[in-house]
Amino acid sequence: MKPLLYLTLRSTFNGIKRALTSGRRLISLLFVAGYYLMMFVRPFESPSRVSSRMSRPVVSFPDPALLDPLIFTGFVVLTVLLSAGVFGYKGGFRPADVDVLFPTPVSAKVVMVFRLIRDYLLTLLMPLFFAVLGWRGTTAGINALFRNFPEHGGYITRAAMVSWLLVALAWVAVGYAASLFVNRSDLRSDRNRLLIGLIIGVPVLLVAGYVTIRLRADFSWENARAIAEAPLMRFVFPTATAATMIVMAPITGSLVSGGFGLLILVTIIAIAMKVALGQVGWMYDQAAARGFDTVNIRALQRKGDTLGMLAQQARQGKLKQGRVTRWIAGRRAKGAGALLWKEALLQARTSLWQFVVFAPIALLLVALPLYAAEEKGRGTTGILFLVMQAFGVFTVSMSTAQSGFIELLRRVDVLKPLPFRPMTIVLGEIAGKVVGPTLIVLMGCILGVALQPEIWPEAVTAMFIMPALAILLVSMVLMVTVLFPDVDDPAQRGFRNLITLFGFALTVLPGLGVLVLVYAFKLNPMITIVPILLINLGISVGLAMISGNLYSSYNPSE
Amino acid sequence: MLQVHRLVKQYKNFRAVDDLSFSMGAGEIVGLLGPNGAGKTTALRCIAGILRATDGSVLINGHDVVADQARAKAGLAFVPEVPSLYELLTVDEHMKFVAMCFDTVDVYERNRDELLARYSLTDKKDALVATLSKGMRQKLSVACALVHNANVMLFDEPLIGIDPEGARELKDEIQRARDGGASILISTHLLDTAEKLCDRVLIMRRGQKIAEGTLEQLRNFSGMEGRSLEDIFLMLTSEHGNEATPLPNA
Repeated sequence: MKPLLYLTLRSTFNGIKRALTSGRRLISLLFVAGYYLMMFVRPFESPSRVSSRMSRPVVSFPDPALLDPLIFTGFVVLTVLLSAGVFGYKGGFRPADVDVLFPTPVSAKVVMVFRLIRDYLLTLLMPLFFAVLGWRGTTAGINALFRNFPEHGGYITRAAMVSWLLVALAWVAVGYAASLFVNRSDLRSDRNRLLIGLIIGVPVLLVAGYVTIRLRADFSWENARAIAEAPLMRFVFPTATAATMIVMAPITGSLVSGGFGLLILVTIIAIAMKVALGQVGWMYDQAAARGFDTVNIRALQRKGDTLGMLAQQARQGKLKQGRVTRWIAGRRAKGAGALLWKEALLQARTSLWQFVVFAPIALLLVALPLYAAEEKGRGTTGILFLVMQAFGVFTVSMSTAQSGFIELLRRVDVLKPLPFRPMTIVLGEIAGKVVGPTLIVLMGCILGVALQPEIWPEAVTAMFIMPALAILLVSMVLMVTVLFPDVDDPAQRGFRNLITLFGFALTVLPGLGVLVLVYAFKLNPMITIVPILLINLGISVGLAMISGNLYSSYNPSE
Repeated sequence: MLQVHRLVKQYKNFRAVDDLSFSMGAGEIVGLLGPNGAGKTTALRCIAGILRATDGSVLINGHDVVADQARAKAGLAFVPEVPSLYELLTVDEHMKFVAMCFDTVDVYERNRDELLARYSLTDKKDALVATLSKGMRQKLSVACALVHNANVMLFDEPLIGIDPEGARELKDEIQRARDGGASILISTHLLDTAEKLCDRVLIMRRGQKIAEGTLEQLRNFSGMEGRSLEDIFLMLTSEHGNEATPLPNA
């Protein structure tokens, strides 16, 4: 364990020291440090200072019998979140681990336990993140929740904490056991994957079907409560059931029930750890046999470099020429049009799958509220339609823009010597990225009108303002990417994401304000088309000019 | 010192190493040769305990690399082709970390200055690995292999990326280790180096051993008297090579 601790501590210390050597890295580090400091310090401010700035909401807590399904639902949500990556490869090893650590006599079991603890500590941060972000609301909520049980409040909080610690450990251990079992490089791995898939997948599908059918029959609070109390749910989510039993013990006074919950969780952890440690011989094999392709793809994933990931897949022979790309490749373009031709070709080759995945989701999001609306007509449905369209535009623009602009930086040696001004290159890149979102918006508008013809004013409005929104979002991503171009630096990466989100909020605000005003005065939304187009395109041009200037002075060696 | 018995590594539908057997005694340098994709690196990784063999066994100093991992690896050093190192450790910290893994920190601290100087790493002692050039990384990787008293050393293309001076130094180091009684297995594409450096060579193709022996034995076997290792290698590994001929020393 000592060498591993030494490695972790020295790497962390050197990483921080290194961050202090570069201006941009330092800004990023200070920002991230300040962000977390603020988040962690604020909750510990004296209560008088906090209460002087806020008024605590008065929540009248429902009947104590409702606490059980509420707590169970909370743990089910956590369980679903924790189980989402259960099949994923848990190695998380770096190439250096394979080349340096694996050939040493350090026991593989020690390495596994060390990584398990590390992953466990990371998992524990998950609810903390939400709690810290919404600290005030959370504390007020928790206070209100236990108002009826002031004498037990301390015990309940402690029981909840113990439950969470055990549930998180159970899922980390289950994750390791399942991952090592299904990702073996031998012939049994396919069978194992099918087996575990059936064990976990079938009950989850059954529950999903059960919940859907029951909620469709009666969409009410009472029915939701009955579903949470159903024996089937308690059986399918054993960790949530056990955790609920532990939390409820101080309230119901049933220590036997609490002890039984504890026993269930400890048993799950023990079995999962035993299975995981039994498979430890495959841990190094998985890391090395999967080669560094996985590691490389993960690194690219962290950077948001989708094009890099696809290039990696192409190297493995997994990327095929499609009909669309062949058709585009056969076209000709002149001058700056070549930039668009290149962009179309790359998009078709790399982002077509994103379009295929995102388009149905975006259309579903648009269609569902329209389909489910009981009253035909505009009003809330129209607003919901615009919100969903904006959400679709946001999702698709983000996914195509971020990876595309990393590619723009990477290919600077190819693009800059071309006979175009930096601004032309930048505009070509932006234009290429908004085609996908625009197509989805158009499809959404057609679908929207087909489902509810009354919302045609919103559909016409969306056809104009949503592409402008896409241009705005893409321009913002481009500017922030060129401003903080070090994709390998995690601090800068995190900082870039924060700035991008902050920039979105700031630049989208004027257009959104216009739309809100129009709805507040119950005017026709179509009158927002011209002002929003002018505002969004104006901001986009400004952002593109800044990006062009930054790009012209961009030096990849710096 | 190193015994590989009927080693097999199977990936779903692909057999990367197929029934590989050989053994090495003390004070011997064996060259592991073969065209790209022959299974050399996979074989080395199975021997180093990085990959889990589908079948067969590997004994290092009499200890099974799977069943008795810690004891087997205690006498082993592995230098990969393109060394991936811990970027955020300094050169000194990196070597110290490896020494800690082998529980030989005291030995390392006694020999540190000499080891760093031998590989021209003295000036870079406190530099982060991330800042090293490709050649310096290769040297560090070799230096790391020497921080403990390994008597079975595996080198995967050790001379690629090293400057001529470093290459000479490394070859001398390998010969010194051999003279000190170590068994050294080197995978390489540099046939002239293998010819000069190795006592024996083992040629692989498509995961299988197709020949093994001294240069003289290979000449006799291939009927290419007086020819270089390169000529023999190309003949044996060509598509129409001598597939059915029994192996020398096999």
